[in-house]
Amino acid sequence: MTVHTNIGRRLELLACLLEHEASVGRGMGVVSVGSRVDREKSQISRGLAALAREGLVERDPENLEFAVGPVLLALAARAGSPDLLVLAQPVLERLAAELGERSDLAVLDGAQVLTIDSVAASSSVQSVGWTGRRTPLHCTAAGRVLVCGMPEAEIDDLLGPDPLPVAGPNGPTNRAEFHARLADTRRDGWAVADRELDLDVVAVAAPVLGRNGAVRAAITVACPAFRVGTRLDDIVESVRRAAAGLSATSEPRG
Amino acid sequence: MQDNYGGGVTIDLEDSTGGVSASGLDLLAALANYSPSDPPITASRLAALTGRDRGVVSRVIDDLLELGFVERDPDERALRLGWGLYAAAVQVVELRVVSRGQQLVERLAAQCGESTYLVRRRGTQSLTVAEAMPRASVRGVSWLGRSQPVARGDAGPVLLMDLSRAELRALLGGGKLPPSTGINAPRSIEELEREIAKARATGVCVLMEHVEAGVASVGAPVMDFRQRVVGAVVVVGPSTRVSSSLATLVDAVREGADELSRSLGSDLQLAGGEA
Repeated sequence: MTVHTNIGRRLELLACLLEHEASVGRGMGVVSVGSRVDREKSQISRGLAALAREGLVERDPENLEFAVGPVLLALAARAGSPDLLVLAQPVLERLAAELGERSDLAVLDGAQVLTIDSVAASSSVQSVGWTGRRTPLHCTAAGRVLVCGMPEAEIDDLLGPDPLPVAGPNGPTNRAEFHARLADTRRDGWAVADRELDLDVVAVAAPVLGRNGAVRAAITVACPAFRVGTRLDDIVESVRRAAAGLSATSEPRG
Repeated sequence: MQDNYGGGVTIDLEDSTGGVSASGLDLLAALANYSPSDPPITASRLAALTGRDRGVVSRVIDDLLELGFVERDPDERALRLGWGLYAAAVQVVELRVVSRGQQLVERLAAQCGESTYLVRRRGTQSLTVAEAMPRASVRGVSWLGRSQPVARGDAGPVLLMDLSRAELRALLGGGKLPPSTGINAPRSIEELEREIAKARATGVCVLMEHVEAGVASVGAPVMDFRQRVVGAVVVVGPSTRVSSSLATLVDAVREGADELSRSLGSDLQLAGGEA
């Protein structure tokens, strides 16, 4: 990661603290920040102190570790599109209740699919632990839906120069396979990933479109393969209807 | 200089040197302030909003994009704070509410001399995720990992206070509440709604023999940066003892819950239940 400004260098420390606490649930000392961000200890201390003055970072008075501050969390309430989350929640709840399967809302975050909300199969339980989950875009239904409106060159940039990593038993093993499946997604306006990411999971996704017709998000239902059976068409129909209802242009594609 | 931003967050924009933010907080706050009805945020608009040099803003934005704090809206192409920040904040809250909640219930149990719990709602159930007993406790009933119907549990009205009327009815199925052994337990959804309204108005919920005869509780909401109720702190004890020190218990529980809420980015203004 390369940053070029003083503000960028300070916020790199903050990004490091945020990533660490989001995954392990605790703060970091100056030394462990230093093991992630290649900079002198005195610079790191000064940077963290500047962030702390503005409430972006806080310091535990007992163990002296730095953690993300309440101001950063307050800013996060306005990140992405908060309006989409509000509108999506009842839609996900209805979908989860209708199909009896977990329903997710996902967006593209760099080259990954990021889950931003999730409702468990049983009656309107917010399924904890799924928000923040990242999956690769090449072997997920949501991934194909999220990139289906992009030019090929942009998608190739996201996938990077290396061979596609091996995922589930039916995951695409090369770019040609990925592009063939993406062509299906473009034609149909929805995607199915049958055991592409996990050994036993089938996922169905459909796009949520913005005012200008670009894909803002994907609605996904993922369920164990044995529960799909002959229901696949019904699942596709429900997911498409839910996503179309959330789209600004309320006409489903395909 | 104090500015009030969007979600009621008051952010002090000057560091101790009195200059503009050394950490770019003014830029982040301007991005947070964006509403879909505003013109799209670009580097020059951000420079105008913050009074910073356009070239500097442009280079800082490149860094913010690289770090994932900022992204481009795929539909409008405008700059905004990134979804990655939102998702990471949700993960931080999920871990913090339990870890800091555990510290809080231990402190409150010692301070109040009563069993103290952190409970969270999972659908129709209330689940205990942290607990602490006072020393020399004769009760010592562990609820850790156990759940009970949220409408019947201690702090139930607090856990339900951010639901709209329609959401509450949809959740509880509109029909009868589950049976209770409490003497004063609400007998209908309407009675439960009155308790919820009271909890909203006072920020605290006192239940005298609602859950069980002879037992009373004082609960207060824990809210996160989205102003969602992510849990409740509740002190439980014999109703005689709770009544005799009620004011002290209410203050202690409310202060403890507020402190935990602030560490989760809540500004402690309830968004209101009529969503």
